[in-house]
Amino acid sequence: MESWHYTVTIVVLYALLILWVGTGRWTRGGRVAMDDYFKVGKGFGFIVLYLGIAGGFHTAFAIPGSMGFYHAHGVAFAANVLWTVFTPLAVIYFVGSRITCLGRKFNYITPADMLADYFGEGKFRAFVAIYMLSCCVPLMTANVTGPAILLSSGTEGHIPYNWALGIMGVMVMIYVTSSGIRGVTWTTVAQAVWMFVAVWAAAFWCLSLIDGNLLTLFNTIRDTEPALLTLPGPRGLATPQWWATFPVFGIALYWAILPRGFMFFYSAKDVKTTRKIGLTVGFYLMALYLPAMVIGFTAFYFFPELTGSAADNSFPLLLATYAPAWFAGLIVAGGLAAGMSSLDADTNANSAMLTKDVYAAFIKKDGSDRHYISVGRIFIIFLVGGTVIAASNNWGLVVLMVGVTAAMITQLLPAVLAVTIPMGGLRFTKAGISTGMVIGLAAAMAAVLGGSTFAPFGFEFTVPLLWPASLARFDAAFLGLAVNVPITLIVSRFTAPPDPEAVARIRAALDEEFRPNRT
Amino acid sequence: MTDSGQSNHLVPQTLWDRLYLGWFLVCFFMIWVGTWAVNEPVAVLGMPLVYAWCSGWGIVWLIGCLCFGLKIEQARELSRGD
Repeated sequence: MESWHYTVTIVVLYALLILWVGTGRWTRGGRVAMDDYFKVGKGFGFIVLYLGIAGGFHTAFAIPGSMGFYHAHGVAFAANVLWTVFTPLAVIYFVGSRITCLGRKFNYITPADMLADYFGEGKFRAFVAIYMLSCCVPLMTANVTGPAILLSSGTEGHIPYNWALGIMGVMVMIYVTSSGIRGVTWTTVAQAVWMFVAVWAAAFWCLSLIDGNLLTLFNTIRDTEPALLTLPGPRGLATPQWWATFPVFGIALYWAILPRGFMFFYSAKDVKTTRKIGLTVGFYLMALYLPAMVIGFTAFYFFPELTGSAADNSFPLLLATYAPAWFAGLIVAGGLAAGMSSLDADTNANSAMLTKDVYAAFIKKDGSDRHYISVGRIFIIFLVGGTVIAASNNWGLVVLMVGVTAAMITQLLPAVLAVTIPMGGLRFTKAGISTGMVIGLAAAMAAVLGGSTFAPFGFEFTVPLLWPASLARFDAAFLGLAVNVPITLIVSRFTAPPDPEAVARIRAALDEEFRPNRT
Repeated sequence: MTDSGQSNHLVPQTLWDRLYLGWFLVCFFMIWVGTWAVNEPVAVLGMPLVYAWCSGWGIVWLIGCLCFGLKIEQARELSRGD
């Protein structure tokens, strides 16, 4: 057998395991209902949802992205410690538990269910759903690109890049259409365990390559590229402005309010489960990134000459050159786990939004749950198919895509906080929230895309730099929010408030759970 | 509509709530701001100082908030009579 045959064998075994886990009898709900397909009506307990959220929150950036980041930017990667701890302890613990509370009390299925219940129904529901869907498309595309490259290079090109994309897409289609959120969560449990083992195994393997001597590795880096050991890194990425805004606004504040986050929070058995996950899931999220330093620097130790986008391929190259084939297979499957665990959760959430917030709200209002689930399955096939087709084109914009998603979703933060956290005298209205989102988005996009050159259909153009250079160093999500919040508050002051009865009902539910002793 | 008659959930209620928030902020600022004070190419057990500093404070942050969070949970259950 040639070495790549071993890699393929392990990947096939991994694929069979995931399909078995994602379609087994444990993924069957007791009834045919939207609120038991897109979310789990009865609710998941702590361990399953913990691993589901843990795996779902780590994307393809975990494997191989994080290793490439160390090779390119060195210890600037430590910024990720901020979000892996901030997100669980602040956003999941404080906001996620409130989403669970409202979701269970009022049986919400989609993020727009919660927002429309508070701010009012109508076109606002479709606006939120389509806005969130368009936020996720770039992220879904970025998420399958890295693992497909890893699979292709791990099999020495015998599985071409496009086939790798297709394999991931078909697997996700099978278990998400078959089992909805249950398939997503159970496979993510398996994927979370696999990618954790893969990353730590890769770190110990890298240590063996340098004879276990971390100090030798450190000294080599200091002699060849000392800028990797301090901020802002050799390419000047981690400026004080970037460090101050990217980890919090560019990741922490939006990561947990992605649609997939809502579906997980709605699927918690109770508020206590979400709070316990908030308190503990940071240990997993951070521990998965700790070994990236050893892996990334070992890749630099062996391939210091790689620069630019080639640095992203340093770890796959290290594997292809030095790793035994069976071990490369384990890591490649870990990369697939990282990418698929996010793609499936995003697909389920987006299909739920299209089905409930667009199709059921505007196209066919009197369908049965069985009909809506069938429609949801069709959306799943289109969403995954579209993602695979989009990723098969080399846009060269992967990093930009993630920034676009972050900048877009962060603009929803005022709306989510307005519903979930009573804030005394602050006033938020549907018009204020919508206006703030649109103008905040425009400001954020100007920052993300400013200076970039595009050439659609052969027509080349460069997006002008609208932000002054001194401000453009801050993260785009932060800039968008800095515009969004004051506009939201000003417009809200002069526009029609939400229905007082709906507001009182939602506030009462939150008070009952989070302020039980309030007099 | 104004919410002046509504409660403000941003204000911590109990001592454990305040300790959770305080611990959260101290550790957060140690990484967010403090990292710039240790931004030197120095090795700690073979690891870059910036990496060791951020990871170390990250773990301290998690353990502290877990302890205070469990106390909050305990107090909630007691007040509900569970």
